Amino acid sequence: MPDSTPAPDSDFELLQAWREGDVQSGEDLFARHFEGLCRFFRNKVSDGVDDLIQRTFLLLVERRDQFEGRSSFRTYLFVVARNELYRELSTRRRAADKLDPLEVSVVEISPSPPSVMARRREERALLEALRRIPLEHQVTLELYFWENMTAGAIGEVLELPEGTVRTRIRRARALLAEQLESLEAGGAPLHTTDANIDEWAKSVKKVVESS
Amino acid sequence: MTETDSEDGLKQRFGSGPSQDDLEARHWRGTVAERLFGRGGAPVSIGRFRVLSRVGSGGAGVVYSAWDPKLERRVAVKVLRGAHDPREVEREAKLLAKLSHPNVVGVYDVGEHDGGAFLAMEFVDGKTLLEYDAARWEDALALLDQAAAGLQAAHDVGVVHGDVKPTNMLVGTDGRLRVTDFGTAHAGDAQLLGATPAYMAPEQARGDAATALSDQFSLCATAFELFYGVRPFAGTSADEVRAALLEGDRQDPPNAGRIPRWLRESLERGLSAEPSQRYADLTALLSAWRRGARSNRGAVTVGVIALATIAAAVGSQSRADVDPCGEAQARITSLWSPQRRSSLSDQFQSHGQAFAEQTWIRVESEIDGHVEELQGVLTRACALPNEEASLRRRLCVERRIIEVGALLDVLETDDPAVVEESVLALALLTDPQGCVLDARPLGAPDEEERRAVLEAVARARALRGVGKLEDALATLRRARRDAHEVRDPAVTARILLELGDTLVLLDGVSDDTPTLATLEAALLAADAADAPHLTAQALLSLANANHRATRFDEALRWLDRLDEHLQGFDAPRLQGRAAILRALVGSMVGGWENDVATREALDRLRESGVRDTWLALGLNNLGEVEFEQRKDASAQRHYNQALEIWNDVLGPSHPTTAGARGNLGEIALFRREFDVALEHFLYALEIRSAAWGPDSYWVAHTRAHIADVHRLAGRGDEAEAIYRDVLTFTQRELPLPDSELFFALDTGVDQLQPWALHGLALLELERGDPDAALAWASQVDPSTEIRAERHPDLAGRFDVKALALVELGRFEEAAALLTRFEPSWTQAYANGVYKGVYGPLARAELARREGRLADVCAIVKPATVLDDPGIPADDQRRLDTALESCGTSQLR
Repeated sequence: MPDSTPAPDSDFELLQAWREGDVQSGEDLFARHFEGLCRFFRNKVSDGVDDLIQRTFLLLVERRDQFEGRSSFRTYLFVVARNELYRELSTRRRAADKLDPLEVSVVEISPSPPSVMARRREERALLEALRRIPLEHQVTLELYFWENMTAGAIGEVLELPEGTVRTRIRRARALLAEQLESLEAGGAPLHTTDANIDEWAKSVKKVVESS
Repeated sequence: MTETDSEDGLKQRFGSGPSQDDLEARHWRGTVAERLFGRGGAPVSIGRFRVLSRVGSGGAGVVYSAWDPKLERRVAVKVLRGAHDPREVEREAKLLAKLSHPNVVGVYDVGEHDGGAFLAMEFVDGKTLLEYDAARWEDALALLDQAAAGLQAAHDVGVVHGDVKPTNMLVGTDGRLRVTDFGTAHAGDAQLLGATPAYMAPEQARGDAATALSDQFSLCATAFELFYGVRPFAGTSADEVRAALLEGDRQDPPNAGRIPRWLRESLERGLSAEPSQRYADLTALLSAWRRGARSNRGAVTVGVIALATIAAAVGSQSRADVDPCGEAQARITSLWSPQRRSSLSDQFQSHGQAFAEQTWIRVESEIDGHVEELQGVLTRACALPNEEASLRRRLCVERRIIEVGALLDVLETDDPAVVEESVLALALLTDPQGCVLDARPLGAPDEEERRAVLEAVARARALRGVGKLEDALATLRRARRDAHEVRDPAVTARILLELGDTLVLLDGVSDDTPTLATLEAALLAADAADAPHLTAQALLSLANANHRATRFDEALRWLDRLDEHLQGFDAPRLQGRAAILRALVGSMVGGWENDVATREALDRLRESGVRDTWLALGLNNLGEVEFEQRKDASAQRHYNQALEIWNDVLGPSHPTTAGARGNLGEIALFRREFDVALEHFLYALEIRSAAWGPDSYWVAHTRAHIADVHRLAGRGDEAEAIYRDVLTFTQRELPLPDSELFFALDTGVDQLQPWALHGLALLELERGDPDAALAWASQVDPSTEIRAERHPDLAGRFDVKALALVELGRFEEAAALLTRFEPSWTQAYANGVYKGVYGPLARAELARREGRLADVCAIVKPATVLDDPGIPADDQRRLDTALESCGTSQLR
């Protein structure tokens, strides 16, 4: 049976149309990706989620030319989202406490609970455990499991080779399992690490410059 | 675990991620889309300020209500239209920002937006002077005094206003006037924008720049209108007005007699066409006014008069000659009139049930007490020397009066159910003493619509109190529509809160009901209204709703937020309710018995004389937890305390007190004090039969208890007759009435059937007829058997079947049954649920008969079984036998 419905426009096509002033295309694009972005930011900042989503969408328009043909749209989306997140988190911290996203966890950056209200106990434990592992690992796992991104695509977002991402996924899973176990055993130790200030400063600088 | 297993497990656990479909996410979806795609037309943000809503627009620009994320406060942002030079605006804004005068609206920031200038200013919750209905010239003068002071302060730093008029003066709910919109109208602007020149000085009308002296002219024009009700220069069009102004054709004041001469003369001087003939500055004008006011009113200070204006507006007729205190007192008296008292009394007397008469005594004295307290609070409020504090209390009493009126209206509806619930509805009346503690900022005077909405909410609350939930819902839905007119987040919060509290009872709480979303919206509205008291109420309601939905973890989270929110507040009643609710939740999740703080909170509340049905419920649940841990003495104490409160509040014949009686009966039964137990259960039976009729769930429930008493006391035949009756009740096809269905579902009506069958089977076992016992036990509904595997209480009912099978020598079947329910029994022990005691006895008996004597010892030795004085006589005998065999085995 022939399918008469036209193929849906690709995300990049929608973006292009929006840039050219077609608001409806912008709204379609927004509807497609709101949930993923909301999920991405929500478990990492306790307020300002809406602003981050808004800025990310606006940046998609601005940065379009830099990404022409280089990546899939979703990869592009999360490159922008991650940069915005790191920029936001680094401005929220006082200069002296800046920490490495490979070392510091969301719990340490913003200790107040996230706005998300998980209904099931299991889901809540997972979200909490994710918040307790280093940020970069949290991002890795969420993209891998929730957004179904390949190690290669995650590598593009994190600016890492695919092999490194694979190693990171394994490491992140181990860290997550540790936190889940400790949460489910009732204890909830916060791992505190001394800040490697130089390293964090370098990495933040890199993120900000590249964005 | 292999790599693949753990991968799959983790993948499953992650699932598709938390859904982003809750209230907050939906809100973001809407607001971000609106900001991005411009639906609704509001700009995204202005400078760093996030736009919340559009407040209004005038000739000079559009004003938005906005949020300053940096300093976390509400601001008003004015985006200027026309050809304002941003640098000029910035210069004046800087001067004003430095000024910081109580009568000048605070300027926080200035910047550019869309090529135009914007100003971020203090957000003033209140009215413009134009909307303000000052009843007496003294009141109007008090406000103008503030306006002159603010303008003079601006002139002192070199800022001229340029567009002084009533709509540029905001009177906050605190009674303080702020002059706003400085420097936004420059030379020629007024004509360009086509504004009415009604307040403009003639030199401005000719196109000259505004000066301090033209501000003085405009202020006096404003004053003229306030005092005389007409503008000094009139005309049917802007051109006519301008012509009158330029020709000096001033109107004659219509009611000149009331306004003192000195005041009229001061205005005439300020309105001089020639600037040099006006006062030198506003300070000179001010001293003329103040001198005159002193000569007129003796020692009364002008500033206080502004508050009197609000007070006058509070009464239903906002006229100065009405004494607001006297009027409020009169309203209380007419609400609770002798006629109303006797008609309500007749209604209760004709109800026909024993408790109705007692309930009336209780209701009458409660209302008497409440009204008396209200009058006391009002009298003291009126006598307070501090006008503002006095007014705040009076407004609070006003709200309480509305509540009482609504409740009395609802009580007057002729419905037997109303009588039963009336005392509980009374408990929903807000404590008059709360008005003494009320430290909230002064609310806006309750104008008609607002008042109507508040009355509807109070009525809905009263309807909820008497259990008329559908009516309450309909009332609220209407109120919600009307509230769109009011646009007051505090009013919205009150409606949503009441709506949520009603939905909790009506629809329950689940993902399919709007209950939680409604309460969450109430919370947002309460936050937006900056009303900490309402925020606290919303948090408490959210905790309560989650508690009722057995979402205990969520309930505790809301309670934590409530505790945090209440820190530093003196709100004993709310804090008390929070403590009680925490106790209720705690008693469900366990572990709470160690929570000394909560227990102490309950004790303190009780000792401080709190008489609250919530507290009684808390004490009752505390008793239940203690009883499960076999701390019967303290359980009994707490049950008695709960009973005492319920007796006190509801009267001894109220159905609720029967519950406490039943609990005390269970303790007596546990202690083998059969006569005492019987007395409690019979008392409960009598109350419940009277209230709900002989054929109701709770009556059958109480009768099952009575049968237990007879069985354990050795009166087998009496026990059997009652068990059979209960069994018949459970087999009837009649649907339960709604009022009972709720309890039945809550407690599990299907518990009654296995209970009765369990009792009958035990009787047969005792009589030495395991066949008959098995026959009874096998009648248990198969679906119950399946549920029982996960339900410790129900599982306990299957031990008798296992015992019968053992006695009949059907060991394999017995073993299978025991294995099936063992986990539930183990859990029952861990939870301290008394009913699980027969399971191990059955297993011990099986082991004994199979000759596994070491196993017998392992089963019966644990202290939980040995020390339990609640083991009934026949089971004690089995236990003794088992122990004997065990002893023998140990001797070997």
